Amino acid sequence: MPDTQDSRQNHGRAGGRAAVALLVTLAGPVAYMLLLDNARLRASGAPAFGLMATGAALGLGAMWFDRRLRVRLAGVFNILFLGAFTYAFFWMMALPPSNVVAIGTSAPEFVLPDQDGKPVALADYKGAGPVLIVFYRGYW
Amino acid sequence: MEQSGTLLAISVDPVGDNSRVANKNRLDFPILSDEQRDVVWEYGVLHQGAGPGGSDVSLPAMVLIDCSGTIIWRHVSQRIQDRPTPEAVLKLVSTLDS
Repeated sequence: MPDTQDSRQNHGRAGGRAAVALLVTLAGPVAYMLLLDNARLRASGAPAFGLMATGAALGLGAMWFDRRLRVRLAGVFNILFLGAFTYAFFWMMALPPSNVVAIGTSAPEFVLPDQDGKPVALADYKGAGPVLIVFYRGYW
Repeated sequence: MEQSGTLLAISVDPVGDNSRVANKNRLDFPILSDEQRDVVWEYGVLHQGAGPGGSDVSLPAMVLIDCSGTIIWRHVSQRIQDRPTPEAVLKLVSTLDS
């Protein structure tokens, strides 16, 4: 089938769409990293999933109009990338269940050194108000 | 919003590392070093083998203790990126009498 002016333009447009789709998909994790400070966005992964879903849709749209291999590869890549990120986000980031201390029990006493090496006891604060202990993973 | 109470952070890192983190981020609350993992274990938030080289670390968790020393709330993250928001925690603290 002769490559008409029209179909060349269609190819050009679809090729452009495929490239935009790839960029949008790759922008997903980048946007997520940039917006980590927002607790809701970080927990839901919305910036990443929103952009990657858009990229996947754009990529599929480009594939619909253009059967060239490079456009199809780009379209499939978007979907695989979205799948890999979804797996990483939900599965790999999962933490095991814990037997954390129960509500209503007495908080175990402790004495630990603070960042200046000074010993700090939980008992130091008894009666002085509520105490919030935040446990960090470690290895900063 | 002013709220009375004490914030303590506990990590398994050595004092030197906690000092560096405190200075770098200008943190003005105690960061306690639990290198033996004793306290992390007692509070039930030990994450075995999850650290570099298979070492034990802590699960990301928060425990709220009232002035009588009783645990009145706690949260353990189920995914690494999940943390209670400061607003949610402050709201909890504000419901306490003392």
